[in-house]
Amino acid sequence: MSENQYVVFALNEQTYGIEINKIKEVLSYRNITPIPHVQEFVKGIINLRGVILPVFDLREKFRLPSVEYTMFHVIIVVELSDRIMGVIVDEITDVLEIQPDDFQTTEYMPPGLQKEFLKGVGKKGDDMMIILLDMDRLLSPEELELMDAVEDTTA
Amino acid sequence: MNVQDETTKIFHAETEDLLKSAEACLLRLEDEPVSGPEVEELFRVFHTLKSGFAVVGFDVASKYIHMIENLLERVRSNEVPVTGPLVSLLLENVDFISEMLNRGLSGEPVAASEDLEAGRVGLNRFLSPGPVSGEEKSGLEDAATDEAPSQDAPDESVFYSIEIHFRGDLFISGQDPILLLMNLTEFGECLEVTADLSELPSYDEMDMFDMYISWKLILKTSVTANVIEDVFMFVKDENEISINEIADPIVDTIGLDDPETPIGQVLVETGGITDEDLNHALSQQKMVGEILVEQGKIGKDVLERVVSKQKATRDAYRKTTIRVDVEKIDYLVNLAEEIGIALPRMQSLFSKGVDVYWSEIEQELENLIKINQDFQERIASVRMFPLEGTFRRFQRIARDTANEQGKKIKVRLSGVGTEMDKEVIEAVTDPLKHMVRNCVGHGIEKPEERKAAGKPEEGVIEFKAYRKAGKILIEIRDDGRGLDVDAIYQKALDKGIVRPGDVVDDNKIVDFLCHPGFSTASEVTSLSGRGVGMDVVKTEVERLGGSLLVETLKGKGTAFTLAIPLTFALTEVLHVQVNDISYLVPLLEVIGTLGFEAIRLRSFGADEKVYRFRGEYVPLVDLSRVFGMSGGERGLEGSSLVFFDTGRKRYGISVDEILDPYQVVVKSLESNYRSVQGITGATIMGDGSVALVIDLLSLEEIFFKDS
Repeated sequence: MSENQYVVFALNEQTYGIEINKIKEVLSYRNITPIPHVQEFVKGIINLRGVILPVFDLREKFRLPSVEYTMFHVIIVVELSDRIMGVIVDEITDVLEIQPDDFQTTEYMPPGLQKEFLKGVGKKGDDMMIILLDMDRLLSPEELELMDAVEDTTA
Repeated sequence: MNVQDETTKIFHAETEDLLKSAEACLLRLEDEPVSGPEVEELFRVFHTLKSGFAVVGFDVASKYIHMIENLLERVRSNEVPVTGPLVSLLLENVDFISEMLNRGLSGEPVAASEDLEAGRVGLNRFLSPGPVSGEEKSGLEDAATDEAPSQDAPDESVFYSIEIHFRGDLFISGQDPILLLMNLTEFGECLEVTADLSELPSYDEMDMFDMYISWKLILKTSVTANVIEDVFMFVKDENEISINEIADPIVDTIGLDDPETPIGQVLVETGGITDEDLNHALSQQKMVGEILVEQGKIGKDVLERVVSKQKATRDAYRKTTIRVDVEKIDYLVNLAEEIGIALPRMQSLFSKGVDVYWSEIEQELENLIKINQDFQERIASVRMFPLEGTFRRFQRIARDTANEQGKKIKVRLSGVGTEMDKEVIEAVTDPLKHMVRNCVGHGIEKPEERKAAGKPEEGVIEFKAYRKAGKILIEIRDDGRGLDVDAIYQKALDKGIVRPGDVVDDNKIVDFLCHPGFSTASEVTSLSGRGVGMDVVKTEVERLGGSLLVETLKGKGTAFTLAIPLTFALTEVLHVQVNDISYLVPLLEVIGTLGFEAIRLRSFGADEKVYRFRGEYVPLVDLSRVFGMSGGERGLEGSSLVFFDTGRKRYGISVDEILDPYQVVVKSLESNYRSVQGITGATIMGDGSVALVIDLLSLEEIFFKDS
C-alpha cells in the first residue's frame, strides 16, 4: 500500500484526506451513546464487535457548522496516537494517490485550521484541493487524556 | 547649547572614530604583523587621542595614552618588533581608552589607579630594558617631563641624582642652563626633572637678567660621574652642583614582578612618596558615587538609577551628530543646483504658454521627478554608513573570544562597503555581538577536535553583507560543528516550547533559540550560554521589519542571516481601492495580480479562504476584517486580487480596483496620532486626499497570529 494514498472525504463542502494506512475500516453511521462531561466534539461511544470505541466529530473539532446526522454520514475508524477511535465525517468521496509534485506544505496556509493538524495540502487537477490531516497530532495530549478517560469509564 | 557641551560632543564623536580606526588598524596589523603605514597611522591616531583628552581636561587619560604613544614611537623606529602579543595589548588598551572616555564623560574619574597601573605594567613589558618614559617615579599624577627615551640604553647603567643650584648672576658669565641640561641628556636618559620655582619672584619684581630656578634630576647613564662633572666644568666652582650616584630609583622588581602591586605602594616602598600622600591621592581616585554610597549619603539603587540615566544621556549624545562624507554632500549640492536650474525653466515655459510648450513642460517635469527621486535616495544615504566599522568590531570580538578559549580562527569579511542606516547599525550591533560570541564559543571547535574531524585546525568565520531585493542581508557563517539540533529539540521539550512529535525544521530551530531564556550551553561562560542574546537579536530585527534565518549542518557549520529592509523615504506603491477606501501597498512585495475566478477559491477550515495562485494555494486576507473596518463581507465576484511575497509568507488580498503604481513619501501617523498596526503610515495623494500605506509584514502578523 502506497504511503501517498489517501482516503478523501467531504466536510462542509471542503475536501479532506487521511493517509490510507491509518484507516482500519469505514462504518456506516450508527447510534452513538452519549457520555456526560466531555468536550463538545466528543460525541460518545460505539460498540464495534465487542470493543468500545470513542467517537468524535471532525466538523466540531474544526469549528465548522454542525448538522443533523443522517444515514449518509460515515464513521471512519482510525489509528490515532496509538489508539483506535471513530471519526464522523460527511461522506467518503475518493481514494487518491498524491504525488510529491502535487503536495504543498502548510507554510502559507491561513490560520483557519491549526497547522499542527495538517500534513499539507494535496492538489489534484486544476481545481481540487485536499487538506491532508496528520491524525497523530489531531488531538492534543490533554484531549487524548480525556478520550482515554472516556474509555476507562466504560471499560 | 553652551560651548563646553559642543566641545565635549565633538570630542566624543572624534574619539570614538579614532578608537574605531585604531582598532581597524590593529586588526590589519594582526593579519600582517610588519611595521609600516599601519604603525604610522596608529601613532598618529594615538597622538591625536592624547591631545583630545588633554583638551577636555582628562589629563590622567592623556598621560596614559602618552605612554602608548611612546611605545609606538619605538615600534615605529623598529626598536620594538610588531608581534601578536603587542597587537593584543594595544587592542586591550583601545578598550581601556574607550572605557576611560565613557567614564570621563559621565563625570567620573577616568580610571581606577589599579587599572592604570596594570596597563602601565603591560606596556612596560614591551619596553624592557628601558621603561616607557620618565613617568615611572612620579606615577601618572605628575609627569612633568616626558622626553622620548634615549636610544641604545647601555646594559650597565648607573643612576645619578643631580642637583643644580645656579647663582643669581649666572647669565653674566655667559652660561645658558638649558644648554647644560641638554648636554646631560646626551649621556643617557633623564628619568625625572624637577624645576624648583620657589625662588621665582612675582612678575613685577623679576629681573630678567637674574637666575631664580634650580633643578633636580635623575639621570640614568653608563658614563662616570667625572664625565658628568665635566659638563659643569665652567660653572661648578661658583655654583652649587652636586652629583651623587644613587641606587636604582625605581626598584624594577617591586613593580614589575608582581603586577598586582599598585603603583602607590611601589612609590611608597621606593621612598618616592609617603603613605599619607598615597592615601590622599587614592581617595581622589575613587568614584564619587561609590564614596557617597559608602558614606550612606545615597542608596545603591539610587546610584544605579542615576548611572543608568547617565548612560541613556550618553547614548542620546551619540545620536545627535553624525559625520558625513563630503562626497555625499557635494552630490546633494549638485542636485540642489539642478533643481535650481529646472525650476526657472519650468516657470518660463509656463509663462510662454502651456499649450505651445506642452511637450517641453512634460519633459522638464519628468526630469524633475528623476532629480527628486535621486535627491530622496541621496538624502537617505546621508544617514547611511558602511558596515566596515561594525564588521571590524565583530572581527575583534571573534578574535578575542577565540584567544580566550584557545581556539584558532580566521575571520573573513566581505561586503564591508555595504551601507546601512546609522540607527539601524547601532540597533543591531549590540545584539549581533552576542551572536558572534556564540559562533566562536559554541560553533568553532578546539583545534584538536577539528583535527580529529579532518578539518583544518583554523576555523573560519565569515561576515558578509550584501543587498538583495530591497533588503540588506548580513550573514554570519562559521565552519564549526553546527547546531546540535537534537540537544536544542530536547531542551525545547524540557522547556515546554514544543510538543512531542512536532516537526522541527530550521525555522523552528530559530524560534527555539530565540525563545527568551533558552540556552543549550551546558556550562555558562563569560562569553555565551547565558540564554540572552538570540531573543534580543530577533526582537530587534523584527522591530526593524526584518527577519532572522538560520541554516545549520552538523559538522559543517552554521549560518545566521539577518534580512533588514532598506529604508528610503520614497516608496514605490500600488494604489488599490477597497470599499471606496484608497490603500497603497509596497510594489516591491507584489508578486502578481489576477481577476477573481470562483473556481480557484477554496474555503479552509471554519472561516478562511485560500486561492490557487500559480499552482499554489495561498490565503486570501480580508482587509476590512483584519483592520476591523465596516463594509461587511464583500462578495469576491468581480473583484481583483493582489498577491504578495513578504519573504516569510505569501498571501493575497481582494480589492475593488487596481490603479497605477507610483512613488510616494510615506508620512508617519505617530507624529500626530499614534501608530496603527498593519499601517506603515499615510501619504497625500495627487488630489489632496490621504491614503494609508499598508505594512505587509505587520498585516501578515495580525492575520497569521493564531496559526
